[in-house]
Amino acid sequence: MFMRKSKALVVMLTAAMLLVGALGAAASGEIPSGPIKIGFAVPMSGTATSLAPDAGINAQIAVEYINKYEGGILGRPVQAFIYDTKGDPQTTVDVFGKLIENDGVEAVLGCLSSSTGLAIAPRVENRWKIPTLLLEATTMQMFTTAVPNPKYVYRIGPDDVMQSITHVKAVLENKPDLKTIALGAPDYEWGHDVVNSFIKILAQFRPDVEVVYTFFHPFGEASPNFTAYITELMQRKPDVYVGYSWGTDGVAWHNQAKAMGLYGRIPLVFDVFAGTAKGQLAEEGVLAETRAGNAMFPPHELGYPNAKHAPMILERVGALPTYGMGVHMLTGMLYLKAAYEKVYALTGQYPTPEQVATALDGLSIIGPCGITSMINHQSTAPGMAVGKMHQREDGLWVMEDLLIVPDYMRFVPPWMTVDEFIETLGKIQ
Amino acid sequence: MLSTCLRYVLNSLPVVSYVILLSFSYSFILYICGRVSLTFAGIYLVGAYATVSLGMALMGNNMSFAGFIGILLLACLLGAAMLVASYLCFERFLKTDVHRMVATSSLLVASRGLVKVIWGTTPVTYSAPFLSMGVSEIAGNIVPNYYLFMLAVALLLMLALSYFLNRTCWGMRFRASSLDGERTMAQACGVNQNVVTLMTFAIAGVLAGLAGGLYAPIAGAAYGSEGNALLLAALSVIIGGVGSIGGAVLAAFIVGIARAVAAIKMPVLELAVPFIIASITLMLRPFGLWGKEFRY
Repeated sequence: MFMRKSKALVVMLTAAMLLVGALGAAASGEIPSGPIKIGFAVPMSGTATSLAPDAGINAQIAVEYINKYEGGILGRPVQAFIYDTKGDPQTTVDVFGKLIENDGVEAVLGCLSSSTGLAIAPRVENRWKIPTLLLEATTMQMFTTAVPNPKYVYRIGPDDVMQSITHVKAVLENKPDLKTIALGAPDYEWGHDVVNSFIKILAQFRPDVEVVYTFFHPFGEASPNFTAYITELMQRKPDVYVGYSWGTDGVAWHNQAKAMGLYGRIPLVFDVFAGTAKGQLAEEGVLAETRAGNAMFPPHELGYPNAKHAPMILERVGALPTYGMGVHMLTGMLYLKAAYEKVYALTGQYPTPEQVATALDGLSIIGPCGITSMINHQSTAPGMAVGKMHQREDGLWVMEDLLIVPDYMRFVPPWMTVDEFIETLGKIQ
Repeated sequence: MLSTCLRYVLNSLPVVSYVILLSFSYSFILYICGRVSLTFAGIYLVGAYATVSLGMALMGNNMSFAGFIGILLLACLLGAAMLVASYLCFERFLKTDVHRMVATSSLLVASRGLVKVIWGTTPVTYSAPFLSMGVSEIAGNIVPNYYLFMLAVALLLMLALSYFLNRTCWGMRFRASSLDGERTMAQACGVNQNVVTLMTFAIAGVLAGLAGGLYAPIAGAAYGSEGNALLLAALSVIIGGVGSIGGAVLAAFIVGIARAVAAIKMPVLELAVPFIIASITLMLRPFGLWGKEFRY
């Protein structure tokens, strides 16, 4: 009896000592040894690859950059877990589950299209609860209806309003005598959001402009035929056409529109993604957007962090894309690094996922797009501009006459709703 | 009004042309051999990728019409060879329709795998033939000449097949086989069933490979497009009727024009329209608009 009691006592004392030891280690703020695991859920196959090719390589480069030039995160090297979402919402959810539940990553960067972002954001907030940085997923629904009070989900890319304000300003700048306009976009959340935003914002700046045609074509249909939309568009004879077709849709749209002579018949065409898909959508004189484009911030050899980051992309990918996922990925990694270091500096403890998520809000960093801040879960400087496509004599496509709209004009302040902000635009032009 | 109607017809031409070829590829095996085979959709995908790759490698942006025809012929030969090989190595061992349906679905997946290994999953384009042929103006409507070329190729091929089936001795053997459920009578009369079956698969392969090759300059070659091809072909066979060349052409025009009209008038229905037409056809004419009662 006595022996049994003393054994129990020894076991309890040992357990107590282990517990105290563990608590002591945690209290001392000891940074765990070994690499910090970060997940990347990016499209590496499917239609999105022609919009943002080489996403997997860009993720690897962002991690290599952080390890090589920034000393990792809190001195720990970053270990990347990179999976293909195929641009599909259900696959994205599966990939997030795998990253968080199987691989044990501490944070995730990912999601290009709005549908994938909308699929995972509520799950991250309610179930997985780890810092998640959306590379794009620009829909306004993200922080209004999908996750209205986010804690863990942040967005590095622009939102639809930031995007549409830039587009409207670019159209007005390039076609001041604009009378009629037509818009076309793929038929899913983002396509509808961005066209509606554009029309609302245009009405603030130029209420006299008539929208003569809007259409939403099937999205991601593998063998698209857009002839019906193109002929209808040419029949309406708008002064400007703004098109949001991207990926394989964009390439097919461009080829079919070109074959039917659309580019010569409409005075100004703004193919938003004309600078993507390795030049397959490019057309002389057409307006195009660059978003997080490495090529947007020359000279690369001088700027931080582009001086080191851009050459890595150039070497591995062979070009500096106008639609650069690599820029978003590096921006996200720099945000994460800064958040971890902020928490550690304030508490002396290795941060929990909740602390990292809290620290991200309000954080400012110097990233590939310059100084950028995370305000209300939205990064302020997503590196957007609009320019004219031009093919140089050596065959390379470049963007000329870049228009960059200042942040104050396109960033919805935290104290305003989107609609309230849009109503103010006419006054600050 | 007439000009608007014509516009819808002209807009539909690329879809009409490739659906004619695809639906008859599917329907031909079903009609002559009494076999369900979904492999043709995989051949369509391979035909599209092969055309893009060969076009880029052999001609790039220096388009030559003769060269493009040569590439299309290669896509046809590749399609025929693949479908014959799939029959010899796999499909001939499948004895019931359930087996054929399941097993040829897996062959379709295997074709996707082949495309993924060789070309990857990023869509590729070769638009030089499409862009270099220029446009025509028909009653105030602009139509790329490539659309007219596609339609001409599809219709000429259908006419040639019609002549072959109805006016030649070999065609009579094909028809005899198709009308004879167990094929014992045709066999007893000296029709070599192995040769008929192999030729049927070869012709279906030519049609599927050509459909992929012809449509690739317009829409590119995209991993996943075989699903769309399969769906449109199957729905067109329901609408037109099994084994009917006239039915294949009629169904393709109905599907193509209905989609072109829906795209402008009711965009939300554009993808659903073929299903709606197929459902109505099944209710009113279960064997298709041009089909006869078909048993095998």
